[in-house]
Amino acid sequence: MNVLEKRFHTDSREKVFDGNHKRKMTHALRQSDLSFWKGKEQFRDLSQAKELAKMIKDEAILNLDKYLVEFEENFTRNGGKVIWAKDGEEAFEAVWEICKAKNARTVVKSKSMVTEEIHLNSYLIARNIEVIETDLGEYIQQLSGEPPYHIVAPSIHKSKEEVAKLFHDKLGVQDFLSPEELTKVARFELRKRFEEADVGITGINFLLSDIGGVAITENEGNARLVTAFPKTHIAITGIEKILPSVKDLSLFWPLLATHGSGQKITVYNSIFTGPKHVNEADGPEDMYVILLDNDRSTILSDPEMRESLNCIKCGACLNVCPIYKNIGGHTYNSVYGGPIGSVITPHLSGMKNYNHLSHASTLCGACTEVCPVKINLHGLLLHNRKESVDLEYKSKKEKFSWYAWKRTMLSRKKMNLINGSIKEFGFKILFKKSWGEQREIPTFPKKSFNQQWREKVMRNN
Amino acid sequence: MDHNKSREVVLERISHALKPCLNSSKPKEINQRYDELYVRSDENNINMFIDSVSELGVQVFQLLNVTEFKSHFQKVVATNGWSKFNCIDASLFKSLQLDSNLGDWTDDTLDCEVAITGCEVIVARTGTIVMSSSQIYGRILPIHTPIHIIIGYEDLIVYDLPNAFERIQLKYQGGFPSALFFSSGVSSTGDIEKTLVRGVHGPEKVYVYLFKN
Repeated sequence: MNVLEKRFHTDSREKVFDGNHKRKMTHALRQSDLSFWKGKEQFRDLSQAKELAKMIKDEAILNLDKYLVEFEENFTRNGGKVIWAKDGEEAFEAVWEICKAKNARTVVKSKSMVTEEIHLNSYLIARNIEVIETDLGEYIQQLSGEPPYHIVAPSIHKSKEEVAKLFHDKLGVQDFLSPEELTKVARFELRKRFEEADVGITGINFLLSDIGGVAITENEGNARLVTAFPKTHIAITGIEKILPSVKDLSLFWPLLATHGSGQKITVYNSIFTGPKHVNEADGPEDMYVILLDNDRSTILSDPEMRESLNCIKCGACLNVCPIYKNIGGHTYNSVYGGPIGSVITPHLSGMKNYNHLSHASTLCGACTEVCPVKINLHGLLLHNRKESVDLEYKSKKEKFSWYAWKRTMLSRKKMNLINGSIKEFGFKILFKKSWGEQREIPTFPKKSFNQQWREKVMRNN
Repeated sequence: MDHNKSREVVLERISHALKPCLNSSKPKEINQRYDELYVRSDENNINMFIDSVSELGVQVFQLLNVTEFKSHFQKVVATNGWSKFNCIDASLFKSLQLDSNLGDWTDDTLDCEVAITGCEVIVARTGTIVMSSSQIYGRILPIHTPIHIIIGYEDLIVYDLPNAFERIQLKYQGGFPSALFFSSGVSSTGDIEKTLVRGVHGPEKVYVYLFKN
């Protein structure tokens, strides 16, 4: 068992028995569930909409190179600049080069999981650039020095009292403020930061190849301000976020809103096609889009894994996952938690260190059921398990156990040889720990079913 | 760093990854009409818009003429005690016959309490107001000002997003503005215990005055 896997087990155990954590997560995820049920009422036939979304994403991913080049051509024609990055290092070096050229001191950011993936903030801060997260949830996480807990709701694990205490400690405001008052504090604190910032960095929800634009979805208005005040706008995205046409947003905006936050459509959906035009009132003078690979092309090369690139990062699979609910976001020790995180993390960060996440599942299939682009999430977890076995990342003990199991199972005689007491002994040696301290070790019948059956038949004759 | 080289490498990796499945990568024809995916009510677009935008916390008023607007707006201003207005669009100011004695009028984008703007398209099903950076208000004013008054006309209303995109594409055949904004409701968040709080970074209050054409 590697260090990360050990840590995963320890952290999971801690969270599972933390009643306070359970209470907060149950409350928050219950709210998500209720909103989702309301949001999906807008669809005449949700499964048909999902099927269509899957078809569009499948086609877009199968023609990824063509669509990315088309996006680049159109966006460049609009006056924007496209930067391609093989990995995280190239992406943050590109950001740093822009910041240097612009003499930037302050960066405001709207929500972006890709920048979490490449740890952009710490890289810029180390170069004396002030980085300010402006999404309320991200702002809360930045103040408390923690990574996001959920890909859509970064501070889902914090109670209002905890946020109030945090604001009191870090910003010097009164303690015990209500969510409304806390939101006002954030609005006030961040207003001036938008106005002063030199560079605005955003994520991207959809890359639109036909018009050379990027679509950004949010509810608060911070992304609108990040893209309005600073003279430079840098949008960073994984290459998989492609949609062939701006018209596809008629499906993907409502689908993302319903699955992400239970709305018909999110409050602010913006499309940016480039920097400010000469005749426009305001806006950035330069706009850059950074297209990041960072091992997505490796996922692309695996025909079975490929569909995981259809993900629109709505977070619905996290909301319904019994594992996520019980162990929480940080236990995954990966930027992307929950089912989709368990599927892609081993491919983004290494199968050797992260293959244990493939087992962080009950295989109940709730994730697959809810996914708006019909990714076979629990199937892909099995695919990862197989891959980690093929790559021989499993322990000697496990390998030996399977060997012994197979040999025994192939022989009736051997199976009957192992009586109940031996089974109990073997079970204790092999599974006592993973069975869990809270459960009793099962007892086995003294004789095998085969033996019992024979005896019964003999008796009756 | 050589960005061109990275471009080649990434594109090469992608085409290499997709190589074994070139046969299956022919673009499929997708004929499905997007607006048929959603539940359609029997209401006309105007009533549908009023219902859906009201649900999102926006106050919407249907008006017959400017006289009606003037008296209504005056009452709203008095009730709320607003004093600093921005209506940078001179023709809108004139056609609404706005009273310069109502309070301070400024063209300052940052220092105003109420922004009065027009809009480009209105989407009935989702309660969405479409604006763009090509309008005189630009990017900052409509999102930065605490109170947003939107003047709309019934003939700007379309049924759903596909119709809105059709209109926009027709309007901007020579190329899109640098930014298009689809706003549906009031700036809001659920980031603290999933409690809905309105008025985060964008306008805390949004009013739509809907005129007959």
